[in-house]
Amino acid sequence: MHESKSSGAQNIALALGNNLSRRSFLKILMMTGAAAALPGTGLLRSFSQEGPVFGRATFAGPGAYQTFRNACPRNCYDTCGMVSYVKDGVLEFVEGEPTSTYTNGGLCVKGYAYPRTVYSPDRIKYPMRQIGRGSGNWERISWEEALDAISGKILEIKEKDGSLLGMALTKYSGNFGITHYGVEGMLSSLGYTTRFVGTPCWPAGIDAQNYDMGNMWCNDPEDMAQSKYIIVWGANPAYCSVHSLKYIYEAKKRGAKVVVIDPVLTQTAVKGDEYWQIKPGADGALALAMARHLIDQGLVSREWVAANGLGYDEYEAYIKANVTVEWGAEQAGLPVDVVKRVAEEFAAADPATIWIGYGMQRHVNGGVNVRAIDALVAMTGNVGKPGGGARYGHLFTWGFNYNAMVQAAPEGSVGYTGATGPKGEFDTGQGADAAATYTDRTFNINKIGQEILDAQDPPVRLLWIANKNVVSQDFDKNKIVKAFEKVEMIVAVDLFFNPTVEQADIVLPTVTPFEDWTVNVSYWHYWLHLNEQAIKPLFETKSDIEIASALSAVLNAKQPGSCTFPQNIDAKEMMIKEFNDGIYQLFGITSWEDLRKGAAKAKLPSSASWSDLKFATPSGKYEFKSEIAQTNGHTALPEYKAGREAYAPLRLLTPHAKHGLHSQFQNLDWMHDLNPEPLVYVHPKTAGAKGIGDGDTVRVFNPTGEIRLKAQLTNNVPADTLLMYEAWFGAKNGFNVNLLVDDVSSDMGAYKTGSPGVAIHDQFADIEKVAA
Amino acid sequence: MIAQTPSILHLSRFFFAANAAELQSAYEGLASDGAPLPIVTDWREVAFSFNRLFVGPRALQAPPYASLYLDGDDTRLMGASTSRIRQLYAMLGLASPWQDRIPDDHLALELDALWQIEQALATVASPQLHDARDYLIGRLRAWVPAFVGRIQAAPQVHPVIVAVADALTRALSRVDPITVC
Amino acid sequence: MSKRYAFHVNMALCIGCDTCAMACKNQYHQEAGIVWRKVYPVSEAIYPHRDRAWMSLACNHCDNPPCLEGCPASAYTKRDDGVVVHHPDLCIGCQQCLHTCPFGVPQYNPHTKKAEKCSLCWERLDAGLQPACVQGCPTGALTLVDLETFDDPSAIQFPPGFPHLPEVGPSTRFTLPEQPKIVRRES
Repeated sequence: MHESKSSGAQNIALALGNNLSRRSFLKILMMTGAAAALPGTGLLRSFSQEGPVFGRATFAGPGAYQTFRNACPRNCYDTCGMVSYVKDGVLEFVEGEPTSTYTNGGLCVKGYAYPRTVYSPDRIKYPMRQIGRGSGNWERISWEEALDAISGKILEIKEKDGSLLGMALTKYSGNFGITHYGVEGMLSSLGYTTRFVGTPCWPAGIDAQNYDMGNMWCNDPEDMAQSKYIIVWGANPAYCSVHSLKYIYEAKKRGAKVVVIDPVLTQTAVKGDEYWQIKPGADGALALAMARHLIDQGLVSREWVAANGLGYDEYEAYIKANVTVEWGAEQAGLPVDVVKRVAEEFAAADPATIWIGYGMQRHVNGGVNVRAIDALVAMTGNVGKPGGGARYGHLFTWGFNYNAMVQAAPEGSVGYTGATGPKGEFDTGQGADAAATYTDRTFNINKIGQEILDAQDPPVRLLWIANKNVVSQDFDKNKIVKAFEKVEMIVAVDLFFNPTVEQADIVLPTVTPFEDWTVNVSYWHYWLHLNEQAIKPLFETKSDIEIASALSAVLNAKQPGSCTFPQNIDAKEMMIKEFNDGIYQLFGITSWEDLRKGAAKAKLPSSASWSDLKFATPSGKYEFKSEIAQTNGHTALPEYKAGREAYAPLRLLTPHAKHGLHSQFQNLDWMHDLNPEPLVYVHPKTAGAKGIGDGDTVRVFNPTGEIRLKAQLTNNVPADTLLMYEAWFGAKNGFNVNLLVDDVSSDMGAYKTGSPGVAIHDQFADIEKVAA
Repeated sequence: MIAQTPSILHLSRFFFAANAAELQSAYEGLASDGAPLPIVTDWREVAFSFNRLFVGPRALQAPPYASLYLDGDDTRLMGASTSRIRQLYAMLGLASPWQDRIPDDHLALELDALWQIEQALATVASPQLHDARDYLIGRLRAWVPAFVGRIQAAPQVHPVIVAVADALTRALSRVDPITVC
Repeated sequence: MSKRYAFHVNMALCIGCDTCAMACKNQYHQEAGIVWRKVYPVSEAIYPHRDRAWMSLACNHCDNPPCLEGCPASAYTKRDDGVVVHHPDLCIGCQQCLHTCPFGVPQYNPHTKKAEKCSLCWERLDAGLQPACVQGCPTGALTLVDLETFDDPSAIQFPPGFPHLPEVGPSTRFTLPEQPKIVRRES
């Protein structure tokens, strides 16, 4: 860049970047007394030592980049290990962890955009306070001022209500680094509070797998390479788990058949051998139909179900009495002969596996549908086999100390005296003394709008939002914004300004993975990744536990004993404290420092879950018939349950996008280059009937709300379906699928996660062209 | 010419202000230099506008970091030109206490460097400092006009900030090379 | 020539995830609007499902590179291993190469006032590393091959939708995408 044309300036320009010239320049300044003449006490200060060495980085050799180990902590199957390349304290680029066979040295379109996340000028840099919620008038405040205001509110609530139940936390999957459970820890360390519990993500399927097998526990995804038959059912790994595909490709290369079942002809679907365009929510009926055919053809693994199953005979009796292949195929909208053929192929293959997607269980009958699919895998003897299994997810490698999360309530804390349940799928029962009479008050995380509107004695006065972009991602956006009017103070911890920050009174700036110390595992693969602080936190950003620690110091200064969260923490030490012998043994390492050299994989006796066929159910068997399910209000067997009745002409599907992960990444300008705007995908027949052309602006509407956007015509979607990918495009674009998605519950989820899930894909809408 | 130097100092502190009080203090310094500046009644309103332009939490209307204007790449902080100015500071035996946390090419830091050089040149003759000053002025002239343009183009900018941006433009245009004796 | 490095674009494995495009951006931080590797959707006339088949293209490191042949400043060189390198320090920004390249590969940067393009990550190659895009690809769809020894019968030089220019000799090789058996809903 031509910064100056004078010869003097050129001398400087030449000297820059040459360490010798630079040093000799400074020497001259010192010798001539010119250096001493500089005040040295402006914003810039004088230093006495040698000074740093600058230079252009190289890929190898002495001038090479400094490298650090990091992990992508987003809510993603792949949870990649990363290597970050730093020069002169600046992150220059990232790569995938080469020592993990799963990450295999590469990230994804989102992970490679991290350098843009870290150094975006639009990052939230300082604590700020909005004067008049939603006004857009923000003043910058110091951390002292921010924590003073928040701690003041906390003490005020305790004074007014005699408890801290008026303080609520909603948090989910914005950052799955283990130390980030320190947010829950922060709330626990303050007393008994209100927690929004559950998960929007996968609860129905978790309950289903718990009813059937006693736990959600999938095979090592890397063993899909050994499968001889893979059904990808309601999952789209081409968008959501790109690293899994290589194992499916390997299986195909070795002769496996891959069938993809999805309402939409997805990117994954075109990579399989066969694609079925199923009617959404008919998955249970289809699985029952396939089971019926296996029974009729004598293809059930009688030995397996006799040795390992409980209640199989009753299941078979139910199917024979209530299910025909013709009926189930018709429910699914598929030809009978095709259903029969694949059922036979599946039963004949050894091993055969089904990948049960999270999208598939986002229905009012999602949980029981998963049970029916689990049963198919079990009755063909494929549970407990390498390359087999009913794959959904696992928490097998998550056995850390949760040191940041487990905090005692301050002495004298008063809480809720009603019944309580688990506080989310990661709740291991720690943190609450089983004998205590007080607990937190729990609300359904998926119905935050309604819960806040209904909450009383006390109402929700202070809402803490971390690792979640509620106003963007939670259901029925309009209801949420209305409910927030009742909340006296809203604190949001975030990286970028988003619709949640817009509704906050105080925003606290937080760190990216590169500025953080934590440790990461996956709910799909079996690798462990260290996350080192590669660069200093920019501006005044703090991690969640640093915020908790600072708040603790301020509170205890005002009211000694009011917060038990450790003060003056060292973030690195907090990371180290998460490790325990169980983790070391599982991963075959002696110290967390081993992870500085690379990732570690869990040492498993088999790549298959349940390889010893000792299920964690009450009977120790695979429970086709589950008494617990019945106790919890469901049928004991995976019986047919109808889907939600349509309340508008077209089904609306809002699955996950490929360029973003919920509301992260799509907002970056690098991503806008690849994916500039949201679209609604419409079948040409449907569009034609309404006079909608490719690229026309349309209005999609239903009783919940409406969205205006452009339409793209494609027969990838069925004629009775509208498709939009959920994402947040940034402040300039008001697109939000949750203007159309209500918070109707799925059947299951409360058993293991505290709240039922949401039937995200049981939504309906209509569409019309908007006058240009 | 030496009368310009306090302006650079106060301009630096204005753009570095962390709150309404610091804005006011820097502004009063500028006014005392004789710059024609409007009277302010509500400093909070100035702070709101200041934050929308330069701080956040929304996307910045006029980010005050040289790399976003000089590097012409994907507009990120800590770019190549940030490294160059840090090297210049190092050549002068100076460093930012916020190194790695606040980019070295924040307008306030670059103006601070210029102010320090001019303070020194008022007492010593130094061809090296003279060259450094030339380089720094050339660099500021290469990006500040675009920065000021962003301020002027932004919606609802407080007139005080527009006035300070004008003062900045004047300060940079009036700074003439000092002849070395 | 001791080697002839080339990209093998296996469209049967490619899922259009844009990882390769972003891996390049992550490595070089190109200016907004300048993209060295782009993943193009294959038209429905060629692959009948919209946005389901993709062609990832950067520079084709041709046997007879028109950019090199037409450059008045000798700012392009073709290495012994086939890589066609653009040298920014020699480039005078005349934009001749923008006109001579039939694939639209070199792009003009109005800020630096020079052309720029993919140079096959030659600095990474020299350090024994894979090009950034190849390293990033999660499905193995994009690989670096040596045409002197590359022996994949599925790989062709001129797939449908790609300019047929044998005299230029683009080094990129392609494997065509496949289609599944599709069972649509009987609604």
